[in-house]
Amino acid sequence: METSQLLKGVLDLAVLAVLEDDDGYGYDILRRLREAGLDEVGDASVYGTLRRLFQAGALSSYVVPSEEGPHRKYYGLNARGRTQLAEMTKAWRAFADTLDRLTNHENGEAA
Amino acid sequence: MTATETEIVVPPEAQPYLAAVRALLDSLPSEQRDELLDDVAAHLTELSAEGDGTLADRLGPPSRYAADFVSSAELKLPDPDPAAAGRLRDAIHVPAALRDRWDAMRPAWVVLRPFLVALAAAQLFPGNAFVLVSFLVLAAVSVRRSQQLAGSGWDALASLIAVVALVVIVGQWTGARTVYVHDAGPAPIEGPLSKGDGSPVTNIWAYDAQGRPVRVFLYDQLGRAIEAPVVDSYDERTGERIVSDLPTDANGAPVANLYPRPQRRIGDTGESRNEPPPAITTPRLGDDTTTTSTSTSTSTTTTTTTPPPTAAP
Repeated sequence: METSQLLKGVLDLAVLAVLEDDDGYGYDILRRLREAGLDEVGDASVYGTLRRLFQAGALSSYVVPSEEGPHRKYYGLNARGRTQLAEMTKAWRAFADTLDRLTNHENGEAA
Repeated sequence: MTATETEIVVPPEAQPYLAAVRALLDSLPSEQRDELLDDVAAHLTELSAEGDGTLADRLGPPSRYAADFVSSAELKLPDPDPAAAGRLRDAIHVPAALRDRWDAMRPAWVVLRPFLVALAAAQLFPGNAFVLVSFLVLAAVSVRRSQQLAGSGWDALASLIAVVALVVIVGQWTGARTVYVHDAGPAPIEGPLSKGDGSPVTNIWAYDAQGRPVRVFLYDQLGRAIEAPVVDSYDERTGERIVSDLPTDANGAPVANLYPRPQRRIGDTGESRNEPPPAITTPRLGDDTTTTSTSTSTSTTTTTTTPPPTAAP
């Protein structure tokens, strides 16, 4: 199965997670996701996800002037974003545990 | 926050890509589109600064980039003339799920709409070819123009007229005939004689007041022959087919209102045998056992007695 398909469902969680400690601007967030190992994440879908999370009120945003280029729009978690991150993390753990059990069980039977 | 096109500054090498994406997002409401293009411009600028490979190499074609962006932002590329459609939708507060479903059905509705009007016109002015042709021409025009008209006041008016036409069609249809619907039952039989459930009366066994079987010609109140339909029926207990044949007159012509008709029962193996009269017992009448037991009570109210119609076969 392609990782990009799996990513679609959890990109919100991944973006919220990389913003937990540090605010970031679009390209910076994209780079952090790649460095964390999500190589297949699409540029446009990260920017689109940021815009949607911002519209939904999970992110705050501010503009920081940059010396070498145009102003950069930074995003950070607000209270609602932190709540959402906590809830999604919990849901993900439960889901991942279930699939771990399921796949380990299947491996055991096949072996 | 909202940048106009002139405020978006990207390096020259990113201009064509940005222009392509902008063209693809053209149908978004202008505020949404400009915010989104701000993000795109920032992204393309960062990528250009890294400077390895062309933008199309790294991002794929602008069409896929725009589609990814729009879908992950959960924006929808609306119909043409989004402003009018948006205003109408905002005014009505249609739930999003319903709205999406409606968007999917809209093309079918646009095609159906004029034909509903034409059908209603044909029903209201039966046989008037000029009216029908006029409406069919209107129908063709409205389908052709539906793209330009989408979301406009004309569009809403056309839908309103079509809904009225639908009401007319349904009204005419239900008014024109009364339909009895029997769930999974037999279809109603065309003819004068049927039971309440629509099952046909195919034969009549007649008895006189003393319970003796008689052969009778039957006529209704206007002297019209009462003719039971000639169809098969089935014995509910055995499932056997019961067939009634029409008696014939002296010339061999069928007589459809003479009862009882010769009746046959056809078994599973196809053998046919004559059906005797059903085993019934007629009610015992009171002391006044004349054939007109009710005439004494009705004679006071019925001042003139109508003689039976003179319709002998």
